Amino acid sequence: MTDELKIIRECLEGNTDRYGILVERYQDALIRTAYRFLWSWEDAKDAAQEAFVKAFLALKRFDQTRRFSTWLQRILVNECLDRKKAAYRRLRNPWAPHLEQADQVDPATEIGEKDLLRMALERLSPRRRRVFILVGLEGFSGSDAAAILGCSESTVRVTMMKARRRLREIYLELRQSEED
Amino acid sequence: MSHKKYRTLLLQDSSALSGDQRERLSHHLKTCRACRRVSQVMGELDGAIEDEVNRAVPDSARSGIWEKVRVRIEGKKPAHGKTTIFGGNRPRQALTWGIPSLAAVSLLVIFIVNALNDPAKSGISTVQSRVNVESAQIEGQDAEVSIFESTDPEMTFIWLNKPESINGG
Repeated sequence: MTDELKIIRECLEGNTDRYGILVERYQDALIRTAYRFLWSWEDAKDAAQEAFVKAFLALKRFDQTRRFSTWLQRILVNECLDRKKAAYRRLRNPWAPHLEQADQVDPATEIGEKDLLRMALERLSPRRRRVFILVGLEGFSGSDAAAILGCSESTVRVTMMKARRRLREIYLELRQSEED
Repeated sequence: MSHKKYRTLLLQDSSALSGDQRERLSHHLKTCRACRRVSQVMGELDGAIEDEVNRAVPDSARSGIWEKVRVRIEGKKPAHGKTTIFGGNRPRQALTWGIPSLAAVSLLVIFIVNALNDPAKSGISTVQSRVNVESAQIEGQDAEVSIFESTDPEMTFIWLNKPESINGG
């Protein structure tokens, strides 16, 4: 039995404190992934925290033949997507115009390469963006990304190829429009 | 190879290019200023991606996570997960499917209870019937009159058993 499985079984027996080891072990990875989706360290921290709580409460459903880290990442990605959807709904809410203003980028601010990358990523389709973040930025293998996203490895491979190509096109368009 | 083809090659991941393609592209870049600019922008993008990959989590983002998680899970035991009505494991799905389904089931129950209490109002027909057989004298001979009575007026009818049939003749 691996060290991780042992900790999980202890948690299932009610030893809550042992879960702290898993939180310490995976918090950086979770915060970093969440940051790529939400682009705010504060929001990323909240999402990671929520994912840890949800994972603990659902620990009995964890298939112990699989990897805990992948399962945890899957919960996190769903949490981030829910948060993005909620933010989008808030933006579309006509009764909350102040939120729309708060999220707008000041046009006078100089846009750097990283902001341009972020803008290009946001313009990718949601599926391509998810795959690119996990494989291209987080360095997950095709099979791990497939397990996190709940699709086949070949889907990840093909989507990644298209995402990379589209990202380059969008980035070039953004750069050219900036120069014009 | 046309200018457009070189541009397409530049938009591809450089690791996906063959040796021949790479050689021809580098030759073209020496003479084409527009493609050199595209190549430069792609280099910028690769650099930005690399920076993003190597981005470290700031201390402020990681501090206090476990403490907050512990407060929320203390005294709780892992369970098999949320139980929701009809809608999978997401509350929103439960709202989408659960509420209309519950409403439909409630309406059905109300309808059935009403029907049992007052069949007439419910539109369910509960036709009751009986057959009366009476003796009669027709043209001086014995005969039988069968009356099929029903709560449904259209179902009520009378028939006459002729004396021949009674006598077997």
